[in-house]
Amino acid sequence: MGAIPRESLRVLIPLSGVDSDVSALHVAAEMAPRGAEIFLLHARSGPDEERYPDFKRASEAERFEHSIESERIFARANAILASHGLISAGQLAAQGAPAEIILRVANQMAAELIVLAAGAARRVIDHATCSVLVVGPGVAAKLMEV
Amino acid sequence: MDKVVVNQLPVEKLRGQRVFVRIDAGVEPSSSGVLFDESKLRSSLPTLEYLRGVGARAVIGASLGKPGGRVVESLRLDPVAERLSRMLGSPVRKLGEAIGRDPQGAVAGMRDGDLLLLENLRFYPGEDANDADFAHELAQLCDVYCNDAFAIANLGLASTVGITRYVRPAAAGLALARELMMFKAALDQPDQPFVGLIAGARLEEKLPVLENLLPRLNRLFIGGALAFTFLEAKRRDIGSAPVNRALLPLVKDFLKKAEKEVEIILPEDFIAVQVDEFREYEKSGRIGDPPEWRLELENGIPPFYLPVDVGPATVNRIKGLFEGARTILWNGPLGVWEIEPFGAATRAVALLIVERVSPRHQRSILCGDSLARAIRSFNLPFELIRHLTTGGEQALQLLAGNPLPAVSALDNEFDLVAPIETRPRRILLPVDGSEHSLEAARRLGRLIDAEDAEISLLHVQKPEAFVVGKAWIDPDEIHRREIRRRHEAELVFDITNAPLAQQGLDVRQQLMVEGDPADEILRFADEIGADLIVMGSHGRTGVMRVLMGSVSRKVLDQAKCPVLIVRIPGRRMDGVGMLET
Repeated sequence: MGAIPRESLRVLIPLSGVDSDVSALHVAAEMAPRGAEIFLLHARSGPDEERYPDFKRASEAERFEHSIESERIFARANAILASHGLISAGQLAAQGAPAEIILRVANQMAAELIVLAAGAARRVIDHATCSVLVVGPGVAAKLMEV
Repeated sequence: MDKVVVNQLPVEKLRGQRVFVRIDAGVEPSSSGVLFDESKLRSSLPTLEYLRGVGARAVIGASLGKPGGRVVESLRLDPVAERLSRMLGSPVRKLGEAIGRDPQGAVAGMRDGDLLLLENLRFYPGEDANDADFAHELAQLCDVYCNDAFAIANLGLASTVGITRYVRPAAAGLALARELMMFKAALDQPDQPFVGLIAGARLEEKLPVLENLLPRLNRLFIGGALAFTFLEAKRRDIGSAPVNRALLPLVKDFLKKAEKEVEIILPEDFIAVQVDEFREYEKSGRIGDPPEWRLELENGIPPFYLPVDVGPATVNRIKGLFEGARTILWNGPLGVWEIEPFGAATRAVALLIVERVSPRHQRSILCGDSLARAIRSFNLPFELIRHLTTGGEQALQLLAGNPLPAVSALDNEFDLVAPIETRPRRILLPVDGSEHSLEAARRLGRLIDAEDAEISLLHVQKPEAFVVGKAWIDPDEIHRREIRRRHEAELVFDITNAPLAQQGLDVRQQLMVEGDPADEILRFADEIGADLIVMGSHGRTGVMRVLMGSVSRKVLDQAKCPVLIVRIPGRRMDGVGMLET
């Protein structure tokens, strides 16, 4: 077994802009160990811009609209994190097949933990090389009661 | 959701208590020294007065400039303490540090009603990074947290967000609460007719604001540099005015949608200057007389002319819009107000607010950094303006419908009535002694905050098929099996306990049951009210070729609480055939 790295824990929270994000964020923030760095990823379905850079580039206006949507999602996510005293250490928006993006980004940033809303992406749960915290729909219902 | 305001807290929660108050000193350093914008400092006075009045011990946190996480002598807060002392008419003691033994000693020596100012929080790298340790150190200086700094509420700092993890209650100060109330009044249920004046520059920042305001407004005036792209979309002649071509399609879409819902008003006449002359003037550093201007009417601005302000007909139109309005929201100046003659329209509209709108109890909300600077420079009695916000960027975020982290971090009013009860987290760790199950135990404290958690170990053994027909089995054999199974479970618990103990984690209970592992895990999680199930990706009998063991999969699919699947770092699941099972 390799030595456990001592630098701060990197947690990746993929967001899709739907309600299930909320429970994943609450659970991640509640369970995050002290000093953890939380990174937000807005993975939007669409042609993968990194893989196929020549494939129909989005117009500047489209990209602007996407960035506004992502900013909004990040702002809401940060508000939830802040209600637990946390704030994201970084945020990234990307377009492609969401599961592929999540796995790629998790690898690139050497995430040790991905926090996912269940049903979001079975592929991610199966293929991630790091640990995965899965927040099921049952948890969302419980949070609503609170 | 409404946030708790400091004056809603029972007085006994404040008297004699140490209250950390985050204020915005509102000071910007310049080459000639430190510039004070006293309005921001002044906005924190009601909260500080209130705390002194109820006998709290106010520990004030503030920042100045951008020292980048190290001590910069010129950015020490002594001048801020001096000004605060003078404004409050009572001494504000200033410390040379913000955390550590000295501040702790000084805070311990405070008497009721004392005020104490910590050193510039941005001297510490932990402030901007929302560092948990720095936030915890600040939290040790207080019993109650109060944020009164709207102008930094968009930032997640250790003193605005991180600290609230360790200090409760966390309340809004009076100035922050007032800001939030004003924006809530405009956004939630504005008194109608609701008129919006959105001007200034930076179309990319204002478009989301316009989109969010649209369903709430009755009439919308779009002015300033912002208007040029809208005028271009309407094919009006705008001379050499800059147009945001990239966003033009979005502006066209917006107009098409908006004109069905509200009355959209664009500037009708302009003050324009020759573009070359204006550029020369800008290049010269605006020395001497500004270029000669001319009034351009509806027929549009001729080529090579640049609009620098709106004309009197437009101001008149705005005056008409204000008549009968119940709520007025104004963001951004109407012209290049920094050059004296071109601030005329902005000044005229500000004067309208002071002289006509405010006395008639129409609600007006003015926001934006440059509009605020413009209005202050006009020498108007701006105190008469019903609300001139202290935050520019923060106001835009709220108007665009985005929450502010430092506000989200505060307690909700509701929490005061029914505080959420907290109990130690309950973690269920199913164990089978496999490499993956051990890895889960090893990494538990690294991956989640398991300190003070109640950890339950569960070892599930499959019942042996032939035990079903007990009748013909030797009772001694059954007994021997039982002992063997217990022994095996003990062994599994022992090897799991060692790494947990190394992380300082305590196991509350360990149980051995017989049955289908996934079913038992799910049943047991329900029984103890588990907040989390932690498992390895594969069990002892798992087939490593598959991506996840069947037990983990079933638990994952059916659990009512979150499930943490721990993977051995760096080990890929493809081609794992050579791994031991």
